[in-house]
Amino acid sequence: MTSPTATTEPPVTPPGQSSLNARLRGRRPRPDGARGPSRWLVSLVSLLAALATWAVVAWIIDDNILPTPFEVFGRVADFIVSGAAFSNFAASIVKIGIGFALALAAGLPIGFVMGRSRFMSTYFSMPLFVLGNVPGLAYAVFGLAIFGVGATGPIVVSALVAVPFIAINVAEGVRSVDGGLLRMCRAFDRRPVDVMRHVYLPAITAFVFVGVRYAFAMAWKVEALTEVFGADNGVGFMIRRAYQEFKVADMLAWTMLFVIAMVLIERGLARIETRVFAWRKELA
Amino acid sequence: MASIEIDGLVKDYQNRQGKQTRVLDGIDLSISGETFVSIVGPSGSGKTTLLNIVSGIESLSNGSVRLRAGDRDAKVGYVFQDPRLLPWRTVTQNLRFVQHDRSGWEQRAQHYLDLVGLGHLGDRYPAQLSGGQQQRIGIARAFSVEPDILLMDEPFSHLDAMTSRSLREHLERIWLESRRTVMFVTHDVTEAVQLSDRIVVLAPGGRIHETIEVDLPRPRRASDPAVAMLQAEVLARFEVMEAAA
Repeated sequence: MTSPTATTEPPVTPPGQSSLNARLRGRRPRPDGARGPSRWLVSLVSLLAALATWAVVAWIIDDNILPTPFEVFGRVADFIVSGAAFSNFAASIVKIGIGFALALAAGLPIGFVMGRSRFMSTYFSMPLFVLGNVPGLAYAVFGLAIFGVGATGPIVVSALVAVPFIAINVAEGVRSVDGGLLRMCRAFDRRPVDVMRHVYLPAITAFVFVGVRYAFAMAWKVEALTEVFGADNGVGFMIRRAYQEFKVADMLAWTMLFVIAMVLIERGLARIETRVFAWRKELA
Repeated sequence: MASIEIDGLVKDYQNRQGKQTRVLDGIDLSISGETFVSIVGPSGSGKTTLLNIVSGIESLSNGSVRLRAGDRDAKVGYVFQDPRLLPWRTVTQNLRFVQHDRSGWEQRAQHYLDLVGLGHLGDRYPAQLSGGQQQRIGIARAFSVEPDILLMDEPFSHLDAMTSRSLREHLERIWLESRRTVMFVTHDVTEAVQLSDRIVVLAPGGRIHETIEVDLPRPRRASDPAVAMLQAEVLARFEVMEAAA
């Protein structure tokens, strides 16, 4: 089950700097000039160790309750070859995509007015706090109760989950805009549309990216949970079906596919972020 | 011909307790034609506030300010204390951003970048430039809009002495070529004497203390004896003003 954020507001990571700093930390040269093993190698060793532990435990238990990694990988391959993986992920991603578009449509203007007005910031704080702290399970149950089985529930739920992350981060981005640049725009008599395009948008883009990445991770998990209760396709639905048929290997295979998809999407967003912030890279 | 007409300008600020403070008190000033006017005065005399009101960045409490170029409103360029360049845009894109008239802007931008000696850095981002280079871009940006009136707010105050001296020479050269109406705020008397046709001295409390005409040949150098003598005289008048205050 997805647990909601426990903070008073959705977390706001410093824009752009988090990934940059993390990368810098990872590549910091050692004082003695020695080179350690690559991070990829360490991650690979860690992954292989986890798989080995899993295989050993499965071999000891020797029960259907815990299939071996080889069985699960076999099922993953079956789902990919049969096309079931793509059709169900496509169903989930379409729902998240629509929900996310709705969240952006609501979160961007809400965040913008929150960043510009103290009144609006106070006005929207409580609703966003509530949205950000409703348990994922409650979203799933309400989605089923209100919209029944189908696509609408997961779409609305993923939108509701994503809105607070996007709005709060956009508000932070707007607040971060350098007042000196705004005065420069006034002195040169720039049109509001130019100020929006050339000052506000670039300034808040870093914050929007952070919000989108958090929101996507949250929305994706809650959407899958909602599919478990009230959908007729999608990854969450397939996990529930495997559970009902007591096919543990299938459940683990779908979960594995889910995690792989999340990692790929997250990496994709990170690559887009790197391209968008090429001007920062130029500074190095 | 461009002109700045300031009549009875008053500016009051109100603090959180509701107490009013007057920072400009009845400023009357007329600047017209190809004139370089410096506003000098001690800290807190309202120099920057005056410039901000003239540019429209700040509102006034009383009086009037008119910026005209013939029978139309004057086009204004502004050079700030700090460069205020968009960090996510290249140098050339920063100059493009402020253009009202996009026709021929590339030639104009390149021309003024060449004049400040940075014509080869148009593709760089601001953070790839030194502080002095960024400020030169700020100057080129202001000139590139072909303003009728140029407002400058202590543009060299954050720079070291050598860079600041070099930029003054750049500025004077560009001004001699383009001959705009300039209102230049500074606390540096050397700067004011070297660059100005007229120096307006603001006293604490935001009043004009006196106006000094500078009738020296151009281009000027800070080391010219005539410049040094006038500088000493202006400083002496400053001391008298401060003693009286």
